[in-house]
Amino acid sequence: MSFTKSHALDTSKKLKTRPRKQNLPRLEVREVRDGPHLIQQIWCNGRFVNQFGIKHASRRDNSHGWVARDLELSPHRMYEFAICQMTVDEMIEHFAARGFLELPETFLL
Amino acid sequence: MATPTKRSKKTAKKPPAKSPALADLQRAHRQILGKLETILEECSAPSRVPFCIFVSTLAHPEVGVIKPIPVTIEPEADGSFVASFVDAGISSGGDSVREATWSLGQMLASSFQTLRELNDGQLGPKMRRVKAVLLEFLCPSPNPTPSTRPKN
Repeated sequence: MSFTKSHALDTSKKLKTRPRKQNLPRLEVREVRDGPHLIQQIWCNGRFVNQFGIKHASRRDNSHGWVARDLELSPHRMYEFAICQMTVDEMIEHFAARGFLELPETFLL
Repeated sequence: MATPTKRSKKTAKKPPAKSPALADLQRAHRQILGKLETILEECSAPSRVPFCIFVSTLAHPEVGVIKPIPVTIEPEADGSFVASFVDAGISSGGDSVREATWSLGQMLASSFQTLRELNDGQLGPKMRRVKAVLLEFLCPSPNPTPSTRPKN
């Protein structure tokens, strides 16, 4: 079970989806092409909260294990997010728990 | 020219029968040799243990290094490497240590340039921390030089 570029692209796509819980903010992912990377900037409520890089010149089966480190998730959870076993709601809650973004009181569960 | 004569079956000498003690000794020697070969193979294989290096240049035309950056290199199961600047929470990777380090350098330079243009009000808590760390280690390059990608 290796986290590949294909998984990283799926992760980026999934982060943009609307969360099911209405009290959670929606994430915005801005792609910036710089050097060897396609940098995925994650924004929330107008703030730049996190980022990870995808190597744009690499093959789709190339390992992108660093994405899990950048998002401070275990490799297993990162893989689960990419293949849809972990929801975007859970990811936003993880971001809040790790202190990447500040949720107003009304957003806290 | 003399031709070698074949020995008759009667005159051919049989190898001496091994004593049980000698056979045990040979078996033990073979086992030890096998173990030594395994140890030698493990020693000559590329390192599977994470290690740390210090990077004093990013090979980036617009970003310089104020003080050496501690970079952790971790081998992946598929033979590739992940390079991380743990303090800033930024990582990248490559097929070799050199490529992973270069790739991380490009990522750090790019992040530095992006974050320098944004004010703290536009940054979340993590990115504010990242900006503070990058400002401690990096600066705009006084002598721009062209970036070169490492060759494997």
